[in-house]
Amino acid sequence: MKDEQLKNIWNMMNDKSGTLGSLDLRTEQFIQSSSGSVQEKIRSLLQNDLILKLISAIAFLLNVFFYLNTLQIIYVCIAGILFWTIMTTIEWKTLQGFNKIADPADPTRDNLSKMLVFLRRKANIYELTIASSQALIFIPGLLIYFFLVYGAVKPMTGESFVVFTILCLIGTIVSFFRTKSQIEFHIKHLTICLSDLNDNSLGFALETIERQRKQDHLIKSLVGLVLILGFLVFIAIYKSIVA
Amino acid sequence: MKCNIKDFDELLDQHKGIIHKVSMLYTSNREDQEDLFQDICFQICKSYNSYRNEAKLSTWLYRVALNTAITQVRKNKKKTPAETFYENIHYASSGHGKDEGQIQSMFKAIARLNRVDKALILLWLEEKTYDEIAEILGISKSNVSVKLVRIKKSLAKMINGLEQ
Repeated sequence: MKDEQLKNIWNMMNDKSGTLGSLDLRTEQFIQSSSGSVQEKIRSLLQNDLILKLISAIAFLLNVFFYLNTLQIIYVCIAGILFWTIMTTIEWKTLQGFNKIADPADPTRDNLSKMLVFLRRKANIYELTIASSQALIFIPGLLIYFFLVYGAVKPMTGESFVVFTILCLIGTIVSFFRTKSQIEFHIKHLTICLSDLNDNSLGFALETIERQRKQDHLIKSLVGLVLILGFLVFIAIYKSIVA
Repeated sequence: MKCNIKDFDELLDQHKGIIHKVSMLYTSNREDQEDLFQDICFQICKSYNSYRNEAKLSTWLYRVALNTAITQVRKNKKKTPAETFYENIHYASSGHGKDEGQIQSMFKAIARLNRVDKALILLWLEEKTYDEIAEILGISKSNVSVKLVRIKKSLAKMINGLEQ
C-alpha cells in the first residue's frame, strides 16, 4: 500500500466537526459546572443539618444533666434522643448514598441522571429529616433556657402545651416547605441540564424514577399491610387477655 | 495563569479538529474520548499563556494534545487496552458507505501501534513535515524518517491483512 493510499483513507474520515457528533464543548462545560454546583449545594445542606443535629444532641444531653431530678424531663429527653437517633441515621445514610452516586469521576450525564433519580426518590425523606431539626433544636433549647432563667420547668398547662406544640409545628412545617422548594428547584435544574445534553439520558432517568417509584409504592403497601395485620393481632391478643 | 475565554473560544473553533482526532486515536470508547477532549482543552487553556509564537500554533496545539493524550494513556494503561478501539470506528466512519471497510481497517491497524508510533503516524497523515513532527515529538528528524518508514510498512501490512 502506497503512502497516498494511506492518506486517502485518512482523508475519508469525518472532518473537523464530524467526529464527536453534536457535542458542544461550552454547553458540556456549563452543564458540568452546574452539575458540580448542585452536588455541592445538596451535600452542604445535609452536612449543615447534621451539624445542627449534633448541637441538638448536645443540648439533649445537657438537659439530662440539668434535670436529673425531674423524671418527666428525663423522659422527654430520652424520647428526643430516640427521635434524634432515627432522624440522624436516616440523614447520615442519605448523605452516604448521595456521596456514592455523585462521583466527580463519572461522566457528566451519568452524574446528572443519577442525582435526578436520587432526588426524586429520596426527596420526601430528605425534606422530613431536615425539617425535624427544627423540633430537635426548639425543645432542648427551650428546656435549657428555662433551666438557666428559672432553674426549673413549671408543670405545663394544657394551654401552654398547645402553644409550644403549635410553635414547634410551625417551625417544622416552614422548614419542610423551604427545603421542598429548594429540592424542586434542583430537580428542575437537573432536568433542564439533562434535556440540554440532547441524548436519551433524561428519558432513561425518568423511566428509572417511574420504575423505582412503583417499587417503593409496593414496599410501602406491604409494610402498611403488615402494620395493620400486626395491630389487629395485637388487639385480638389484648382482648383475649382482658376477657 | 488565566485563560482569556474569548481567545480560547476562537482557538477552539479553529482547531477543534486536531483535538478531536487526537482524543479519538487515544481512547477506546466515547466517554473516555469526551473526557480526553475536555482534558486536552483544559490543558490548552491552562498553558495558552506560555505559547510564545516561536512555533506554529497548530504545532504547539499538537504538542499539548499529544502530550496530554500520551500521559492519560500511561495513567489508564491497565484500564484501557489499545486493542479495544472498535467503538470509535463506528461513529468515526459512519456515512462513508463502501469506504467504511477501509477506514475501519485503518483504525484497527493504528490501534495496534504503540502510543508514540500512533502520534507519529497521526502527524504524518495530517501532512506535517518531518521538521514539524520532530519538533512536536521532541525527536530528531532522522529518527522521524526511520520510524515512519517502519510504521508505514507495518500499517500497510496490517491493513492488507485486515481487508483480506
